[in-house]
Amino acid sequence: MTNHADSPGAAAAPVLDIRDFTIELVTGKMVSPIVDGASFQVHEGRTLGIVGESGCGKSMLSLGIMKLIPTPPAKIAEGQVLLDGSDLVPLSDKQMEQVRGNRISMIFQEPMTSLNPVYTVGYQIGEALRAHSSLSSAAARQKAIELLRKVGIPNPEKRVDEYPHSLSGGMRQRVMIAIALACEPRVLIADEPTTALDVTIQAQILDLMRSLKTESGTAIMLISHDLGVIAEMADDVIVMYAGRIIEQAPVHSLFAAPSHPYTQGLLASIPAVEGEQHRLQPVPGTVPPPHDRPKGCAFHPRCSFSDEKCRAERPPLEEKLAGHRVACWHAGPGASA
Amino acid sequence: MLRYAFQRLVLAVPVTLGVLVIGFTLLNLVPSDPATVRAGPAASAEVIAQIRTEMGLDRPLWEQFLRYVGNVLTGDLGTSLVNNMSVADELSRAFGATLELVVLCLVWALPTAILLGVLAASRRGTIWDRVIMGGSVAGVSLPVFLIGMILLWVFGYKLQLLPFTGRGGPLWTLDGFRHAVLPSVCLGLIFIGPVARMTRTSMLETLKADHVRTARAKGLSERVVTFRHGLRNALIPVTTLVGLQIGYLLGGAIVTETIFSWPGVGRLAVGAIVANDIPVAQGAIIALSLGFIAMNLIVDLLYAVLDPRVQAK
Amino acid sequence: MTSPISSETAAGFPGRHLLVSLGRDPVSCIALATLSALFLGAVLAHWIAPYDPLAIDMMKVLKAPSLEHLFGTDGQGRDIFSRSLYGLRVTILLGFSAIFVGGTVGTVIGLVAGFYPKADTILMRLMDVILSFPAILFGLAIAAIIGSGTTAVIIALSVSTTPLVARIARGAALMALAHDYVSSGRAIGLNDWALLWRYVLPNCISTIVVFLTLRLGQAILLGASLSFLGLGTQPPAPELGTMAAQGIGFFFFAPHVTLIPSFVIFFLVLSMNILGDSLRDILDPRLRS
Repeated sequence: MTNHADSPGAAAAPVLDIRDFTIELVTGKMVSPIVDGASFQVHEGRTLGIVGESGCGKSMLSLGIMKLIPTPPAKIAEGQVLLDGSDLVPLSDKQMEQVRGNRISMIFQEPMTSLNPVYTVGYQIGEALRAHSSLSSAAARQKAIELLRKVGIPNPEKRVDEYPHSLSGGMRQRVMIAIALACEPRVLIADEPTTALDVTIQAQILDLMRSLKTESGTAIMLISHDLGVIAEMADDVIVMYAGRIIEQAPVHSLFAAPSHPYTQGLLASIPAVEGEQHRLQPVPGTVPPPHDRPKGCAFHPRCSFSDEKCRAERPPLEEKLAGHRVACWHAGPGASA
Repeated sequence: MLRYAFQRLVLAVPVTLGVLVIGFTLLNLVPSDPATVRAGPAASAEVIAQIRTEMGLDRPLWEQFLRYVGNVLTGDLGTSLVNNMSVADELSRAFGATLELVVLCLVWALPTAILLGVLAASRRGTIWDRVIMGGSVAGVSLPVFLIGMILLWVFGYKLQLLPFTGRGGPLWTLDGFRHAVLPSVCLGLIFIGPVARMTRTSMLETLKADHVRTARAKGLSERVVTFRHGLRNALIPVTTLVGLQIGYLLGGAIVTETIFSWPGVGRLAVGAIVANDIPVAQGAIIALSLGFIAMNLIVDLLYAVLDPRVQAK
Repeated sequence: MTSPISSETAAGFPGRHLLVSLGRDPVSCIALATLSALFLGAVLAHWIAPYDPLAIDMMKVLKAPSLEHLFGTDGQGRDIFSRSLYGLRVTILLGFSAIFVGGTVGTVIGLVAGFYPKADTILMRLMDVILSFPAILFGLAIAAIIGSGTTAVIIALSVSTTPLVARIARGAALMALAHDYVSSGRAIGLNDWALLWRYVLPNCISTIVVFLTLRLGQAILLGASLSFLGLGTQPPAPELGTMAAQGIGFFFFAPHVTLIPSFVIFFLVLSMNILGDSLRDILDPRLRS
């Protein structure tokens, strides 16, 4: 965990420091890890991108940080989530409520269903404000109007009293962002925030997130399966496969020199045309489900480089280039994987 | 909202017409001739014929129907064949009694049922859930009269805690309230089972929704999430289902009234049918149907209040 | 909606996996056992009943349950156990005939509405109007028209079941009609009737049957309530609701006369409801909660 010495902005302590984070799914007598020993950091004013196919554990990871995973069947088995140096894992539900929406916020993939249809937009923003401060409802409404203006919603004085069903998907996602930013959180976790949106709207939302980050210095964890979005937004990138981090690097390094065969597959699958939506169809096959992970490197059944060692032993995540860590027996300085 | 209310009102018109047609058909399908019944067993053929003319029974059917609709609209429902009392008067008294019973039942049973449903849903799979759901299946399987007779036996007869026949003074007096307790408990008990069950199902469905996750991510407490974002939304489907249960409630009310000698419309209707008193039976059935339509209308409006999306359409 | 062919060939006989699933739940097992016992009792009433259900014995009026009279005797000294067996038969028949008539008529209406868009609006509006009357009111109205009796109850229950079934059948038919095999059936020159009978109906039937199973308990309760009110089966014929009503006059000194038939209804409907729920959970896992 010493790789950040040469990343810019890393001199300060990380806002979010995740260590050996493991989430297990308990079904009957079977225990299967869905997030397996994840360690990484998110720094102030920077964006960490997390990529992977569906089923790789990236959404569970983000819900796990918020402690919003459904328990049972899932539970945090191990590890620490240090927010400004203090661990969230041992906190009680009551203490966690103080953190959620206040110091860590989250926006989700489905803007159409993520807002409650029976309350006005203003009420739902105000709710986040009032949960963490002693604002009056009138003051909360005023603040909600300001927030709506900040996220670029035209005519916020009118929109504040409207119900979600009269807003478009893009507008709703802006409202979600307004809710998330209401209490000026230290960390914003965005789980596929633009996946459900049109390409143009997608670009607008990403622009908005970028400018808000520059303005407030909030650290962002951006989860996506879209490498285009990651390339555009992230400063650092983590690639996840089958619950584990398999590659971790600054964004330019990752795109310039992808070291894990899986990452290479992902990058190769991006169509060259600019502005095209980048859907992942990387490598033949699918992510193995958590209860059926192969021994050794989880990727070996789909990997063209796999050999005896890959099948027998799991490769550790090691720094192979400066600031660039990979979990693969075949990667390394000079290794032509 | 007003437009929606108006729409629902307009939709209720054909149903109301249907009620009137059925009511009218009733009068004409009965094998016993109302004139004969009114005239009494000893009457001669001429007297009967005269009464027929007086009652307008010799006019063409469509004319009888129009006159009948006109009469109903002006509140004239004829007179009882048994005691010659005005049907409208008898009905208005009985209607108040039934309304009192139903409202009192809803006041305690609806919140209880909803809370039980929420409790079962939020403690899903625990002993609480199982007991509540077991009770609810038992509740929908109990004949109303069994519940009524047991209540009557235990609280009325054995413990002598409460009166069990008839209606006391007005509801706000102690006597009136005491008389109303057992019938409204009886009626409520059959209502709780299905409503608790629906609330549970609806709650479980709602708690899985994305917006509930958003509410949790905002840092709202579990209690606020359950009630403000869970129950509030879960009530929308529950309202629809409660609307469907009103017929069931009405059936229960008729039996309950009979058991506890509660002087309501249901008891009036049953008594009149058994006594072949067609005008009263007809009036009571119309009154019950209209009451049913009105309650459904209220449910529809409630639905619109609960769900802002409805008004937009 | 699975095709009828696949669901039949999957298991050795159609209900096998159903019974296996039911067998895993102890509550369902008890319910199934209770229901079977009640049905057997009803079917074999003639052979099991120790007394003539109509035989009056004024020397043995209102006897409490004993070895001689398992459930005691009623106000006219008739054996309640024997009457309950025969009453059960009437009650069950009442429920089944209503479900059968309402189910058949409702299915036909629903299928026609789903199949012929022209008939759809008018048929379904009519169903809506009928649906807006509670079943108990039909009971009252029909009893007023044709007089109280078993027939009145059956008609009332059938009429009130019809629109519910029609709605469900229409929905299922519309789903079935969306499938390709219906258009291929049309392409090979089947007429409407054959198409409905051979392709659409088999695909709707399981949904309808599950619904009717759940409706049966309600119908029986409703029928018993009408009988209890004196509008259904007329004495001296034994019917459980009627029997319960007959005990009211001496409820305080011989409560068993009312309570025993009432509890028989309760156990009958309870076991039906429990099995109906399990059936729905097994056949339609989406509804499982």
